[in-house]
Amino acid sequence: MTAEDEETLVLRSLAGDQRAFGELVSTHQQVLFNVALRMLNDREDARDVTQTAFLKAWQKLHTYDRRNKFFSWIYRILLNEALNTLRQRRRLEPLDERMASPERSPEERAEVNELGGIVQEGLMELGTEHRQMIILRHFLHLSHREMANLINLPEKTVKSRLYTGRQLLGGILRRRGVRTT
Amino acid sequence: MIDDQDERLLQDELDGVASPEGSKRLRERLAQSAEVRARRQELQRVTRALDQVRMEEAPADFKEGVMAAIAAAERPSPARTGWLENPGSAFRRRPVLAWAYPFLAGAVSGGLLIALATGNLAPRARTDLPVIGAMLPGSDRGALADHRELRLGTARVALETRRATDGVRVGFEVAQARGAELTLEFDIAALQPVGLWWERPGEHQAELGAGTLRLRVTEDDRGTVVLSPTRAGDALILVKFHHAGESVEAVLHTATLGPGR
Repeated sequence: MTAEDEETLVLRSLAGDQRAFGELVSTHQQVLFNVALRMLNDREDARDVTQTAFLKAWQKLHTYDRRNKFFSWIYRILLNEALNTLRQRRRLEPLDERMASPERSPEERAEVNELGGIVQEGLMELGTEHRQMIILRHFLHLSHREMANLINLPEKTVKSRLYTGRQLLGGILRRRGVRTT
Repeated sequence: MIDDQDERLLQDELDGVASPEGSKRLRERLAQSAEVRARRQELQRVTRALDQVRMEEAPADFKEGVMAAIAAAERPSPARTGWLENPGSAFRRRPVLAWAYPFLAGAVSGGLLIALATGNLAPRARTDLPVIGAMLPGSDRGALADHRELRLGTARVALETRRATDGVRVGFEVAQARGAELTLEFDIAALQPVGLWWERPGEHQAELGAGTLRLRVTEDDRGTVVLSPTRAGDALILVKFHHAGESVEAVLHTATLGPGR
């Protein structure tokens, strides 16, 4: 979808055209859902957070500054929602306890035994700032500059956080016995 | 021994952003140091492990869920170029506002002068005393209307707006932002400043203008600004956060989610 196409869809949505907004949902749902999934490590939470982000985007569309990319705007909404969910989760159940819990179902154990599951659990051991950098670079394949623009941080800060995140994740994966050749 | 420069060279190479000089330096370091070679292998392992995490499909009925929620929600307001984009335009479009502006500005400035004269706008220890003429009851935090977190490097400010019985409360918490400036801009025809409360004593500075409250932060702190709405509905607050020569901004709603927002 070109920037002009997206601009048109936003304008039609602003005029109340729900089908136009539906096209924006179709365009961005997979990437946003995956960001939420990697931030939260829970499909149901990721689904809720992503749906809430789209709903809020619809309700606040008149505040969207069209000089920026629609994705950048809704990404920030999604991230706020994801961080809120993590804060609520921390209040209910300490994450460390959750990670250390031996009470896993057979399905959960099988998933964790896969490399993808181990990497995801490693991501959850990172702080949210470092986790976000890894997600943007390695799952969304954004450049440092694109990341900086997306999250309103200087490129230097982005690089620093990304590099630290990778260092930390390397240590976590080593501790968990990951030996990818 | 791996130092910061080695680490940066390795990671620059990994992300394909190494300069020719950096690449040359890295080749030299790889030839010299077994530790650097081992570190490079570990970083490559991390990248390969991340590459094996699949992108997942959103749930099959995801879009239907969003569209059903949208259908049940209020339609978005039409696009507008309101006071936030061009404050002057609000006065040009609404002559009554232009007429009322000097009176409102005068009232606000008068309040500020009184506050300055009595020392009420100066930073103070935690207290429930008002800053400009109104109490800040601690028991009614109000219903959450909106929230944002703005970051500049390690400096950050978390903000939230709440609808309370005494008006709109803008709570803020600033961290790692010594010397930062936090500015709230609002339509004085919709919101009038009532009070400012800091949690800790310090040297914070506050400057109130017509439709602007500028706070200069000298240490990590939190506080609350109370604004009195003059009409029903949502009024937007533009928040600007400046620190170390950079700035970021966001818009806060003052009405809770529901019809009209």
